[in-house]
Amino acid sequence: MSDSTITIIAIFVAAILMFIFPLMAMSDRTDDMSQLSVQTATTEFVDNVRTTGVLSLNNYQKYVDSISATGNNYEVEMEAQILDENPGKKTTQTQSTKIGENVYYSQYTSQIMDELNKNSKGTYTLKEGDFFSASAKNTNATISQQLKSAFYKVTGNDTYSISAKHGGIVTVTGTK
Amino acid sequence: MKIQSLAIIFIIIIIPMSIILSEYLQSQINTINLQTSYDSRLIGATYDAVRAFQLNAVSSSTNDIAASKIRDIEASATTFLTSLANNFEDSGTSRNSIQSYVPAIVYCLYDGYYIYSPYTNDIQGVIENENATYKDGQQLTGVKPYIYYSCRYIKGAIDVVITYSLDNYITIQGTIGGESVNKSGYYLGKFEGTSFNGKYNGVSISEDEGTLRENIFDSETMSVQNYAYAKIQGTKYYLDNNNNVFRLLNGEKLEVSDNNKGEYIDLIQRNNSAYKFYEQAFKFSDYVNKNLQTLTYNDAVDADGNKINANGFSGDRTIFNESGTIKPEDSNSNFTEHRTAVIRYAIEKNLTTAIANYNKNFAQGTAAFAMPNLSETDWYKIINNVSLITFMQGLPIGNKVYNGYAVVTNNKNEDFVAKESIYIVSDGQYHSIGDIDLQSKTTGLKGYINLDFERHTLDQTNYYYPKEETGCYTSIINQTSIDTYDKNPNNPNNDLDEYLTWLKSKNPQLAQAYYTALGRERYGMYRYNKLDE
Repeated sequence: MSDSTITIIAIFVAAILMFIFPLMAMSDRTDDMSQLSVQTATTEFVDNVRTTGVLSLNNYQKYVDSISATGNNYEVEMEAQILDENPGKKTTQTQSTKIGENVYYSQYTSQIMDELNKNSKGTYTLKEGDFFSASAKNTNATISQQLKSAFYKVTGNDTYSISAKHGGIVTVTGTK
Repeated sequence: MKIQSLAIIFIIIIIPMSIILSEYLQSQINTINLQTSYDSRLIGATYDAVRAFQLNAVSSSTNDIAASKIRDIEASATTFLTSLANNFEDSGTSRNSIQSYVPAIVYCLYDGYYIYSPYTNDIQGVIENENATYKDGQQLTGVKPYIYYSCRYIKGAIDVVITYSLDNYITIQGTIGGESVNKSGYYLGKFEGTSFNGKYNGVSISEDEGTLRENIFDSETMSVQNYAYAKIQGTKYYLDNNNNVFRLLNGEKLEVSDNNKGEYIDLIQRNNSAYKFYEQAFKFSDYVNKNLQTLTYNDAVDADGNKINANGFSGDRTIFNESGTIKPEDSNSNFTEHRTAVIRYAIEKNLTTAIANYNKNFAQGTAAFAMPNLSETDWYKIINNVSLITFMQGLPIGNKVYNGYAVVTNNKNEDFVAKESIYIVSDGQYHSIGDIDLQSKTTGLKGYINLDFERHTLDQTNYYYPKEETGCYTSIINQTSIDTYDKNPNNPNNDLDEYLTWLKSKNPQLAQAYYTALGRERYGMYRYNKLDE
């Protein structure tokens, strides 16, 4: 091989080593940071709903804003499992409020959003014993994902690298 | 060779190595991240289960009865699985599939525990009906029979099984000197004098502490009313203005027949539960002191009569005969040490078996299920509180298989009265016993169990509080003015007993209010084995 060929290869290798690798490492760390902040924001948002029994449009907006601040787009999904008033028919001493024994029905993001927008105060209330959960996934490809797919990872279009999920029982009956 | 070639060869060697190394490191990081996130999901779901158990217990008037308790436990276990599945949903997990990773859920209660786990239904020999709900050999998940914290002792003419509990309540069953024994009561060690003198721990207990009152929801007038009450065997009996005595069952009033009414009215108007509690504890302790004081750790055997090989089961320290001024309820007493050892042994032994059985009969895939090592701090929590232990195992997390557990304690329950669960009412607020502001108060003090200050939910919008007092800002809401418990420089235990001994001389009225409430609330608890009269 001639000197010039080797030099050209060396330049390419050097470029990869000096630019792409650090960039990949940096973008990976950025994703880690985003993951952490999205997880924290989701946990805070859900815990707020769980301890107050109220989901307000205001809080939802704040949550969406705070996760968008990571520079990515997210798909937020919410689910409220409502403790039904129909008690499970197990014994004669049935109570309509027994948590865990009775039937739950679910309301999902679109229904919850409808309720939030319909209501003049922009609130959605839950009661003691209901479940509430929310999850966020990134919808755009992050820089790290783009680099990885360009170089070595074979990835589909709908894979996500940042996702957070939190849920749990509602401990207080909310008032509008 | 030219320097460029050397550089390229160097790079060709180093790049794959660094890529492999970084991938390896990343996978390790992912494993740890996943493990932490599973841990937090597990503990979150366990908290939910405990919360559901508490809410159900508060709104149920029959929570202390076994059948009702089993329902509450099943409901709580369902809540746990639902909550866990909710948290795992993004990885496509449903409740049924998450259940196969949960080998056992353990509800450690007052004098024993329930294990919620899968089992094979065995109804062989029972005539099978084709339409029956449950079939022989079917795999079901449910609550297994209650297991007591008990231990057998053989020494000379003594052959007894003693059942311990989270406090000093014990049950003795067996034979002593050829006579059969079945006694239950609170073992409080040695009292002063040969007969009960109305004093416990140097604090005099009044024979009449007056009438107690609280709010309840009256289903007849559909309003919240204030009634006088007394608690007997776990049930509160109320006296209305027309001299009728009633109790509540799921919100409905049930009147007590006229024949038994007089007894209840007496107790409601002139509450002597606390006095009776200490009087009975005196008699019971006296019996134990006389008959079982020679029992030592060495005399403990298993059900078949073989020596137990575990911590706290060997040595010649006497269980019911403390040396010096140590009282049985102190954390450094022989009694407490042995009691803890029995509870721990009882849980460990059966739980290991339950998880091993699960591994043998139900486990899917290749993961081996084994009981994880519970840390000492977790054991401390389990032994001193009603608590919930949950296990989750077998989930693949990168390079390892997940094997985790969570322990959450429940300090709001109808099972027993912990020493910390007595709140003192003064000036329209309730305080925790260690409140510094309380130390100077001498009048208008009354203690109640913490459960009485819990909010009761009626329906979506209505609720009430049984007691009208509000929480003290510096000792309940946030705990900024709580005194430290280390009041004895010679023998520091740093526990509540040490503080109470100190409090007795500092503020006798407060100590009296505390011990009276403790006695009264303990006397009112539901006990399967009634206290010995």
